[in-house]
Order: sequence, then C-alpha cells, then structure tokens
Amino acid sequence: MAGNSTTDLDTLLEGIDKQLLLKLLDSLIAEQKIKMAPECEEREGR
Amino acid sequence: MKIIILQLARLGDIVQTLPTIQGLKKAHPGCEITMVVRSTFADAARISPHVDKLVEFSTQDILGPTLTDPNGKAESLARLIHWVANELLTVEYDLLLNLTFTPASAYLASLVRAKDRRGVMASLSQSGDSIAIHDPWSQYFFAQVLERNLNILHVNDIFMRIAGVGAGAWPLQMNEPVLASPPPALAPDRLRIGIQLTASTNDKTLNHKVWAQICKVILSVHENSELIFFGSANDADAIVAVLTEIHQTAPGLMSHRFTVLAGRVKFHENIPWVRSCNFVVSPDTAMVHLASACGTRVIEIPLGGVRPEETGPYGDGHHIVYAANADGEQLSFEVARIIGGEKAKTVVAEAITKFTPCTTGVPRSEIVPHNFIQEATSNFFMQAYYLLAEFRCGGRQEDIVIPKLDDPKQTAALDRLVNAYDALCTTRRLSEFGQHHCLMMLENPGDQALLKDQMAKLAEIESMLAKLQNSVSLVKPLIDTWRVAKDVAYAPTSNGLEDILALTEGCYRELGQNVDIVQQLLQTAVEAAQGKVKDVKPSNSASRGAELESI
Repeated sequence: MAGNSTTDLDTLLEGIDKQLLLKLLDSLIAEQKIKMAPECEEREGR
Repeated sequence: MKIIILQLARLGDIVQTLPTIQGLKKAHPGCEITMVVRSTFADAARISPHVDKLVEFSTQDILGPTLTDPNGKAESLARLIHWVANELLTVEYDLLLNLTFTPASAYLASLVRAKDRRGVMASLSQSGDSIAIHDPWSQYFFAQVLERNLNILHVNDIFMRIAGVGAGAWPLQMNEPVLASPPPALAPDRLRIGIQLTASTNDKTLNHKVWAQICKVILSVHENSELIFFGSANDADAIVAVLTEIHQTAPGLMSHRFTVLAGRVKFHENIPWVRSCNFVVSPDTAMVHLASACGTRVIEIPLGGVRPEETGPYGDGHHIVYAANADGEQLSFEVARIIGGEKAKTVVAEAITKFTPCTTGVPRSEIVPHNFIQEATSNFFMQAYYLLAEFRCGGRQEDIVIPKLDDPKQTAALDRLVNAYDALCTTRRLSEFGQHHCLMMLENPGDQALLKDQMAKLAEIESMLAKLQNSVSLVKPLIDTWRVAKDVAYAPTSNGLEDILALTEGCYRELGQNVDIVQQLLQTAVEAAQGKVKDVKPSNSASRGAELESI
C-alpha cells in the first residue's frame, strides 16, 4: 500500500498545497462519517 | 491535449459521464483522457473505450486507517499524499472537468495542475475557504440540479455542455466484455425482459410484493417471455423475496422462465445481457443508463423524488411510468402493455423520451408526456429556464415551442402564474436596487459611512431575495443562479473591495436581465394564449432571438 512506501513524504509534498490536502482529507472523512459518501449511500451494483 | 475528469460519485453518474468523454475524443482527436473514480464503481468506467487512464480512489485503502482507528489520521494522510502525488500530480493537464460537485472533489480539483478548469473548485484564504464555480454550465448544474429546481436538461446533456462537446457523443461506443457464459440466443418469437429490483435507497424502488405482481403480469400476459434479474450480490434477498412471492401466489409460472444474473457478473459485464433484452424495467438506477447506452428500451418507474428529466433513460423511445397515481395492479398491466407495444391509454401517467438535436448539433434528450397534461405554469417556467440557460450559458437560442397558457381548466395554474409574475417584478426591482447600491459604493470607495450604510442595504436586499427564494418556487431558479454567481464574486480570489463590488454589481445586473428574458417569454406565451400570436412555432425563433438580443 502507498502508505508503506519508502518514498520520502517530504519529497512528494513538494509543490502540493498542504492546506488543500488537509481539507481534502477532512472532507473525505466527513463524507464517510455522515454517510454521505457514495459508498455509504450506494449498494454495490447500482 | 491532456484532459482529466473527476467523477467521484456512483455507477450511474459515471455512466452519465461517458458520453462527454466520447464527445471530447471526437472534438479533440488524439487527446489523452484520464478519469478519476472511486474503486467501488470503477467497472462503470471500463465501459468506455475512450478512457485512456483510469485512476481509482480506494476509500478502504486510504481512509481505512482513520475510519477504524481514532489515531489513524496520520497514516491516512500519508496514503492520500502518495495517491495524489503519484496518480494526479505527475502531469499538467490542459483541461480539468470536475463533474462531481462535492466539497471533497472541489479540494481535489484544486490540487490538480490544469490550464482550464470547469466545475466546482475550492478557494482557501485566511478569511476561510469557499467553493467557487466559474464556468456557466457548472453554475447551472449547481444552481438548478443540486437545488432541485425546474431543470429539464438531462445530466448527460449538462455534462456535455460543461465540456463544450456534443457532436458524436451518442450513441455510446462501448468495450465488449468477454463472458464465460454469454446470454443464450433469443428465438425471434421470444421476449426477454430485464428486471432491476433495487435502487440505491429503498424509497427509490417498489416493495417486493408489487415487483412480484409486475413479474407475474409480464409472464402471464406475454406467455413467450422470460425474465433476467440484474443487480449485485447484495440484491439476493430482494430477488429471493420476489421469487418466493411469485411461487406462493402463482406456482409454476416462473418455471424455466427466469435467470438471476445479480452477483454473477461485474457491472460492465451486464452489457451483452442487457443488449439481449427487449426491455429493461427499473427504478432510477445505473441500470437505466446502461440500458440506454446499449440501445435497449427502458421502462423506468421513478420513485423517491428522483427526476427522470435529469437522470432517467436517455435517447429515443424509452418509457417513464409514474407509479404514484396507480396501484400495483394498474402499474403491472401498464408495464405489460408497454412491452406489448399497445397504444391504449391507461390510468397510469406515462411519458416517452425523445432525442432532439438542438440547433447547433448539441443533443438533448427530453421527456414528452404521453397521456397526461402538465401543469401549464410549471411547464412554461421549465421551458423558459431551459431557453434562458441555453442563451446565458451557451449563447444559443433554441427552437422550442413556448408553451401556451390557455387551458381554462387549470385555474390553479393561473393563480401560480399571477403569484410568479408578482415575484418576478419584485426580483427585478431588487436587482435594480442591488445594482444601485453597488454603484454608489464603487463611486465612493473612501467614504466609510456611506459604505456601511450601503452594505446594510445590500444585506437587506439579499434577505428579501432569500425570502422570495424560499417562498416562490417558480422564481427560485433565478435567485439560485444569482446566488452561485455572487459566491464567485465573494470568493477569496477576488482582489479587494472594488473588485468584489464590481462583480456583485454584475451579478445584480445579470439577475435583472434574466428576469427580463423570462418576462419576455411569458409575454409571448400570454399573447399566444390570447390569440394575438396564432402559434408559437420554431419559425418564430428568429424574432424571439431578436427580442432576446435587444434586452
């Protein structure tokens, strides 16, 4: 899995807006927690 | 040309994005298209031969650590960084289309490097973050589809308009899956009917007893028919419930006359089976879009507040059967009647889809009532807002008939019309006041007392518009459109107060112009009803265009 890669996170983070990245993570988590994510609403196969 | 499309919604939304992708390939031969989808629904993207690179977002892999462990957020962040950096940031794209319209997709879209961006983007600043939509068709989607306004444009068609494509987008070209067990050939005198029982939520489909009744009537009326039950492995309970009900009430009827495909094939592997069906009967689901793409006739039963105008079957000759005003028996015989190709009217409201090439060759799939009359005022406003959108967003004046408002039996419609007309006039006046106050501030940017006073008045206007927005549904689309445009003006990317005021003034000006256009169309419709205009046919579109141009 990507998180286990030995690639240096700092290198990957170069050029990435960290604030946007954190907002992205928070919004993805929020979608899951309030069951708004497509996977929560959608049953496989629809 | 490198194009990236974010579609992080569900199977149906992905299938509805595929015509746009095909249109992009036709419009930009040789372009490379990357599509970003959730892993769960990636099979839907595999339908298209025009997706050059499929990037999958795995919710389980990336968010798993934080969803299962309160201390797992750092690990999820690390995985997210790897995914974004390795999958999305290695290329600068010429065009980014975010067709998802969620906050998460907006943040993701803003991370990707692209020269031209359409759809929802995020803006961050010290004063807070906001969502901004700059292109007009995406603003239309946000203000009309998400707000559940009077939109009559199919989502397929809106996506194409956002991308600026259309010609060659339909019929959909599809990858043909190779199946170990392809559908057996159907004898010419046999009927094969596909059934999709379940929807994303229970309120969007019928209960198992009504489904059993529909299946029984199909099999009884059409003795040469067989049923294919589509779906996923999760649908096993629903299918068993229906089969049990049929077996208990009509023993032997199903014998050798059904196949359960649900759970046996992946979503895109349904294609040969769907294509082998004469009809697919379904609530509002991805199966409707797949059948439309396969050219198989759909009988959609829309329930749970879904809008078939937006997300129903696409193309010519599909049927929409509104179950709300029918009992199970009436609905069942209506479905069987349509399968038999009969024309007799029934008590069940039915509409038929029609594919209408527009003046510029950009397609539009519309729904035409078959055996019922739409409420005249709502119908007028739906058509008027479509014309307004084409004019505002696409610079087009379409040849559609402006509905007459001349049905004497629809007295309630007349009341609504008067109410809406009053609201239009009020909206027009408020837009003028808004413009005036913005201009006052622009002319006196250093006068703090005046700024404070005028800002308070603007706040008052916004409050009054919000009240109209909530109380008069027929003018709500205008105010929602104004609100989305205004949000762009207030976005942190704007440069200072004067920039914001100039953009805000423009929003009020556009609101007033939009009201003018709707009022012009209304006047045409009323004159037609009064007999001043014999018939409002496409031949009048030139003069109507001139009217619009003169505004």
